[in-house]
Amino acid sequence: MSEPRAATDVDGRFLARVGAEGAVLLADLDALPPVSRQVHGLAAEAVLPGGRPGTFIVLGRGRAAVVEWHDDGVHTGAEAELPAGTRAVAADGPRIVAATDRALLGHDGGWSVLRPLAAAPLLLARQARRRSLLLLTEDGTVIGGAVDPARAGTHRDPSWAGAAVCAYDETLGAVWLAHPGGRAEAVLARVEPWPPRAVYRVPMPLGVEGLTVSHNGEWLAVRRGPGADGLELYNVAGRRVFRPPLSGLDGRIEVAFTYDNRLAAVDARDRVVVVELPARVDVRAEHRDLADLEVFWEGRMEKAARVRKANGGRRARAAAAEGAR
Amino acid sequence: MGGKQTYRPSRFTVMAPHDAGGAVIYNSLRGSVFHVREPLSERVHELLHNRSARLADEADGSERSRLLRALAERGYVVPEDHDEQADAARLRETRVNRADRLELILMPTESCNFRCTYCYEDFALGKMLTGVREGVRELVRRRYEQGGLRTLTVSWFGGEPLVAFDVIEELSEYFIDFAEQHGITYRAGMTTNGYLLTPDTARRCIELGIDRFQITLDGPRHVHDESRPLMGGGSSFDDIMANLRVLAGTDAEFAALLRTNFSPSNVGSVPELLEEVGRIAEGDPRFSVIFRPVGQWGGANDDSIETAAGRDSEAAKLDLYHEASCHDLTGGDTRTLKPGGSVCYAANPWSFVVRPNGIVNKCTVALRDVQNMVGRLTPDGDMHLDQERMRLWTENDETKDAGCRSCFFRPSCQGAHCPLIRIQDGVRPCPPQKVWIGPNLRTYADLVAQNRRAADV
Repeated sequence: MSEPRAATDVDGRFLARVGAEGAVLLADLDALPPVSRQVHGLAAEAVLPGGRPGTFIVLGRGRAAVVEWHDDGVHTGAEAELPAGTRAVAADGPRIVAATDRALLGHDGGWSVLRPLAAAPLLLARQARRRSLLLLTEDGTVIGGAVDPARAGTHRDPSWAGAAVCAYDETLGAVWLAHPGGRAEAVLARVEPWPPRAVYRVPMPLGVEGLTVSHNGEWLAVRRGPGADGLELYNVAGRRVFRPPLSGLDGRIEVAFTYDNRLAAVDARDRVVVVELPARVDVRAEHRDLADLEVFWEGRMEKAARVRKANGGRRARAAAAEGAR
Repeated sequence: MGGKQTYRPSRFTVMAPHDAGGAVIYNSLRGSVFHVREPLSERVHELLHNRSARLADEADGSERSRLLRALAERGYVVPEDHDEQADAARLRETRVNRADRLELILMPTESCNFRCTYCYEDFALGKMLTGVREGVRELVRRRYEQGGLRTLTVSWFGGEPLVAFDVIEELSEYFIDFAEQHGITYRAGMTTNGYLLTPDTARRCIELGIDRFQITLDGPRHVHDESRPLMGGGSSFDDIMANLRVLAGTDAEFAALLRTNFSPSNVGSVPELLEEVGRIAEGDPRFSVIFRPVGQWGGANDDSIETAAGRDSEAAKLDLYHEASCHDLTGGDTRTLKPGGSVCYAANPWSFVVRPNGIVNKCTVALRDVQNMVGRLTPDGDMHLDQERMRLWTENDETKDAGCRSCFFRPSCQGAHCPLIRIQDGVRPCPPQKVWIGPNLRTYADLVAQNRRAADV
């Protein structure tokens, strides 16, 4: 099981990270300056978003516990032993679910099998807008509505088998698969509307170890190695790769995105950098550098708000006021 | 038969010749439109063409007397001492002083699965924060307890609102329960690209009282997919059409407004789209169409997109309405000629846009314009409104513009067709339907006549 050491909660507001000696550190990134709190004694190895705002599932030593941010501190729930052979863990509302090579299990006081699996899971994700779970297994099978018989659906595409890593994108209603079949590409496979199908493929050199999708789907953090050099930001709309401005961070970098399009990066020495990403990069910029792009975009937004009388702009804007969609 | 009376032409009446003969007369205080045929149109013209004329009704049963009374009944002439300006002012006062109404344009997310070439949004914010959702609920409760809320209107907007359908479900369930408990009239609609409006989602929306949809199709598949692709690329047309087909096949009650954004590059292909849509929705009163020219709305591609503006654009729009009627598709633009029908929602003091981070805007277009950020909704339901900025939107209208007060279209737009234009450009925002009133009246009259003929059949 390879779960992240940093994550944001379902709101994309709180950041949790695994610090030195397995401590868990939580931060409210909406507060200025960010407020941080620490939880000891869980021997954490990984953190995942919980089912409610401000909650996280902490994994360590084969156990899982839910921690929750409160105004008066961080509350820690009872620890639960994970099923043997657990490959993936997620929150399904208030309960924890785990996927092994053989089954999807839910924890309600004890573990019970929710459905058997024919192949090992590669991805277990919460489809928030469907209030449902999504599974992708190594043989290229997508299981939608995994715990809801009324919504259950299974679709297998052999060309998706054997992906190195994958990530669910709630905005596009799709799964990113890196290197399916060992190919040097990424496939965007939509899972909504059903049935799943490949929407497009993008070249992606081999060696990807991790994928993280931003809340607005605009960015895909692609990790190829442990350090900052191994981290790329793929802009989905613009189909371009950028280097994130994370100089100064050492060792293994973990990343997570906030709801307002900021990238939070944590290094091996528990240093945290939060950078604001340009919201749209389908603008044309000469340099492949984030800082320049940001300035460029801000310039465009300012221009949009300026008095514009040429080219019928006034009348065109009048139409826009009716809801230019 | 009443007594003698002296009338004068209403200052809100206009008359436009019709290509097919006769003339169309319109009164913006009543919203009445009539196509008067020849030779009657000439006699009507004689009565109405001079705004200063005094028209004596001798109450003698003559044709002139009957005509004057017919015109008076429809508001085209008014008793000579009647203060029409006071009527128009009252219309505005009634609108702005409504404390019993709340209109929320909610953005459950600013993320979008599409990247339309002309879109002005930046998609920077994800799903509406839990604390903001709490604030929305409290705001409704406060408005009821403190303001006597009687009518709640919710418009789901984005981004693509269905990307955050869980937020929509959560808040809609609350609105329905609250409205039912307190006898509040509740209506809801959604502006969606239609891609995720799958049969089960559409059914659920209607269950939640969201029964008005605005869905955009920019042309047949090859044209639509050019301007409205999925983020990163990919076709969207077939899935939207499949969703519409299923929707049309149900017996559910809803209103689907199909919008087409046109520019010189796609306008020629719109008839092909209408033919295709007609095969799904022909004669189905639940579906209607509107056409809007693409403008430079502030998006990333503003410099490169083709836009439509001016008289040609208006003519193209009206031609498309005629084309739509050939496929028995109703035009959805009739409201704009009614009293108050051309007033922008942003001009209403009871209308607010709530963004995913709690920022309260007035207008859904210039989201990042600081003058558009009028408050911030906190979990306790307080919007912390900046009253000075609010006034920019709600009082920047006919009350401050003598030109608007003397305009024939005053009752329809009240000088508030687009407060954004007044704020950003400092000019009077005359709506296109007023600027090109003649062609609009002719089209409107034709479509009404066609609909009537269809109904007779």
